[in-house]
Amino acid sequence: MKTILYWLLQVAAALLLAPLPIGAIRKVKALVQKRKGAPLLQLYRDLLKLLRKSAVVSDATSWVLRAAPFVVFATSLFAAAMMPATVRVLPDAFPGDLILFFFVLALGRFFLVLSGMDAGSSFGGMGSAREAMISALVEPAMLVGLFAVGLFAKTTSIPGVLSAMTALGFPLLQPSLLLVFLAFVLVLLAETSRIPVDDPATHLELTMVHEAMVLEDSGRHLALLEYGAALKQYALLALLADVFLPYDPFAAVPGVPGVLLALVAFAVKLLFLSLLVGAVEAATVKLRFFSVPNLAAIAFILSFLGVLQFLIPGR
Amino acid sequence: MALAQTGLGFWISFSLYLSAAVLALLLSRCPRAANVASHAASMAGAVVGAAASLLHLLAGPGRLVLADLVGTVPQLELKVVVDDLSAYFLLALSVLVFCVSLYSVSYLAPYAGKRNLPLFDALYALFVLSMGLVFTAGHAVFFLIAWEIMSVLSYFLVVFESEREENVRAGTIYLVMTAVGTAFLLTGILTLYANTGTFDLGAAAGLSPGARTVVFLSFLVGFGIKAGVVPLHVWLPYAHPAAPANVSALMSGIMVKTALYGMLRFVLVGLGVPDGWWGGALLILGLVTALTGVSHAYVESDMKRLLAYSTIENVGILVTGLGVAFLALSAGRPALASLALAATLFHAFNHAMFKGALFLGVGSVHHATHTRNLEDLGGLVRRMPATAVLLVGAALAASAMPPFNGFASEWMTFQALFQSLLLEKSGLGLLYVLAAAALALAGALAAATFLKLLGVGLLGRPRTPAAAEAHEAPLPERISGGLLVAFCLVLGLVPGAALRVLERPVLGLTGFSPSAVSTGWLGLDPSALSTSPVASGTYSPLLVAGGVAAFLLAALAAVRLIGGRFLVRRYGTWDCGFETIDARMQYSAMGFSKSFQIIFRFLFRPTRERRAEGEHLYHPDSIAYTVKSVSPFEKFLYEPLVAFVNALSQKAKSTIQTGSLRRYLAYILFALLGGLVYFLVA
Repeated sequence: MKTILYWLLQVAAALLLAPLPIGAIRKVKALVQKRKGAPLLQLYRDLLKLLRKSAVVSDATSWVLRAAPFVVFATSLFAAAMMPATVRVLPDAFPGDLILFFFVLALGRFFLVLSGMDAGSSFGGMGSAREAMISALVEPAMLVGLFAVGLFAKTTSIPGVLSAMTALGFPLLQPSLLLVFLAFVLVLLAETSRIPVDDPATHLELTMVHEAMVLEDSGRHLALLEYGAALKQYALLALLADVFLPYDPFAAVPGVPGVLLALVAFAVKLLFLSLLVGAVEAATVKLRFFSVPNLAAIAFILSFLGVLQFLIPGR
Repeated sequence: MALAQTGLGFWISFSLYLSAAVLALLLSRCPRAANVASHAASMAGAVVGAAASLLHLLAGPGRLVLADLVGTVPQLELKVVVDDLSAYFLLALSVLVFCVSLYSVSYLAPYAGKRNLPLFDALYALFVLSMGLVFTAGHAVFFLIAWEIMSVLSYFLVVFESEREENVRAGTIYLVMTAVGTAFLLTGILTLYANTGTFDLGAAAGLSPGARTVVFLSFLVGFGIKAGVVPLHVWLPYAHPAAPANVSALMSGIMVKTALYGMLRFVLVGLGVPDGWWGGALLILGLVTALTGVSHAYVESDMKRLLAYSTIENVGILVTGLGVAFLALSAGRPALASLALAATLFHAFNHAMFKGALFLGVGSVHHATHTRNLEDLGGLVRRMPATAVLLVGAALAASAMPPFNGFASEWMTFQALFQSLLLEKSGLGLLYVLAAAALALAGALAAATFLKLLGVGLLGRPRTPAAAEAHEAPLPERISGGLLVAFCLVLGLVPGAALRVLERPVLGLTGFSPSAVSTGWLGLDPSALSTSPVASGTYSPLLVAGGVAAFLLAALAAVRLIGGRFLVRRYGTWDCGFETIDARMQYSAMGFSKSFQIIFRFLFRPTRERRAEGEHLYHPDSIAYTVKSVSPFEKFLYEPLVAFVNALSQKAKSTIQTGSLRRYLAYILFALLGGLVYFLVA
């Protein structure tokens, strides 16, 4: 019973909160640029509108293009549900592993990249090729960072990592975890197609990565892909919030109100991280594609330095 | 009871393979019938073999001597022994052979009448038999004989389409490399014999450290050549694609695993607890192999060569896993070694399944379009829907995507690395971190490689008329590929079943059962295997698959509920309003991996050539662009070596082998005198 309740809560939190960070990032950018910007909840409206529209598909496409939005949505939602919105009601048998988390997201990306190639357009191929390249480049940084976090907790299971981080109190005060945090922020920027790796607001096909892959999707297909992308971002932000900012200010409040307050705290953490991403996005420009490897290398070195602490003899 | 049954089963299986060869030759008047009959016999042999190995692994007697014939030739025993390790590899062989033989029934049919098909079938069946003997040889000399038969038969299969010069060249490179490999194996086996006085395979105790090193290095090079370990891999990307697709599937799927078997049999069983540096050497070799293989696979446009390079990558993963197991064993952590070995053996089986399926699917595409070049394909998902689906499934498994089997074994490998890192207190930990990073990069690049194969080959618009007129593969080809993909999915969903099968071989090698890793049939939890109080991640594939599937269906229902009926309007691809989009504007295979080639140009050293014709610089009438990349191993290692050997032979010819009769008579005299002196003294 508790398990079912927990999963329902997880899925509901993911579905409801996922579009929020994107709205927040856009708002931050707009404010920095002295624009009023779209309302915070604009993406919710967009998604609802798109869901009601029928899709236009190219006559060159196959089942891949039509299946991909559903796979992307389902895998992103699964990954998002794997990251606890609150650890208050964690069931005893919690399946969830950090390595699995990233590979579930990779499954969605596999189909997204394939669907980009389906219409036989050079834009789609361009986006797919770049996405495949970028994701491969940040993979080592991600995995080594994950090992570093896992070494602290002596496990890669998500609840194990979370309890270890909660025990630490403020993980960011640990130098090695601070480095890994920075590496993960870079991974997040690359994985969620944000500036400086990709520009989600671009209208020029030649510079697109994510947008080029979904160029041929419309209506409800696009809605699912956008929702999937939002869920993926939510999942990665939740990872950062859970692992690096585990502080629960309402730990003393028991019962249902406590859970609700913890959820509010979680949402605030998400918003704080979105602010960070928005600030990066407002302050930097998109990198030249062939400079992305440098960014990936920086992320890898940060992760690697994070692990090094564990290799120093006599620690 | 069980003993008699399984023993008989292996006998029947081997006899059926032999009869497949005989049948093919007997019916050579009627090639089509010979083809069907021979492959039917092989399939029957595979079914019996699979059943016998499974029975042996689950309830068998452990070690079973099938035959032990001492002939008149000294030091040669025809000793056939099945133990748990042999049975595990025989199981992989049988499953793959069943599917590949089924595939061959229709795949080889077009060759009938044009070529000596019955001879090919006979060689194929004997090749399968020889691999079975390699896995069961209980005597080192007999092992070497089976090994050589396997190598030579596969050479004939590689050069089967000998009218193409590149195939002959590929065969020659293969033959030379494999001969060198056998020389090293011989060195290892003779060193063992010199120290133990027996050719029987088993634990060889009491070797001096120097002898152990010699034996290890000899087997590492000898088996490394067969497996395609970098830098001994140069033959593999030529030979594997040159053979017909069914033989490629067997070579990549199971023949490279004979090397893994050999390392386990001769080094791990033979020499016992490995020396400390062996594991480190294997780990580093494995990582270099994995990264080299995958980076070449990614930039390759020839479908079969792409798959061959991907085989090198997977060999790298296997060698890495072996290295982790060796390191764990020499550090006295048998539980951890069990996890690493289970991951390695599981991955070996998985690779046989998905690489087999990939080679078979690509072979069907090759027959349907008469090209292996990705640049000439496209749009096959509509012309060959079933083949496309099974290629997508096999690619998902090969890219280590959950819930397929490739991910299960990769996850176990990562967990083994993670635990090694946790338990390691010395600077060796650095190696594990780099290993994890390299494996992650290799995995992501493998995914990119298969995305390229699928995206360029199957999706989009057909780039040539041949691709536009492709026909779906015949039913046997679809069934065989589908079976392999189904195995990939089932093994991925219930890895506990695989671990149950693996339990006894791993127990025999490390003295520690890996079955504690599996939580029932549902999932994996390596924490039970850790020697220190280490919790671990868990992975339950059924939950992942069920969860994702449930969300998928829920999304379908929700979209239907909110948006109403599924209306889809068909329209052209977005063309920026120019209305002149055609198949040549699609992203090409070369373009797909071009950015990688540019980023890693220090590795590929591509040479470019751009030829434009016409008066206008910026609007030429025609334009040709070629990129060539030479493997640094070939250029800097093998070419000088070949030149050196050639020069040496020339020198020998001009100084020793002059053709002068008097000189030869003098040689004989000196040899006789030398012999006499030796015998008198000794």
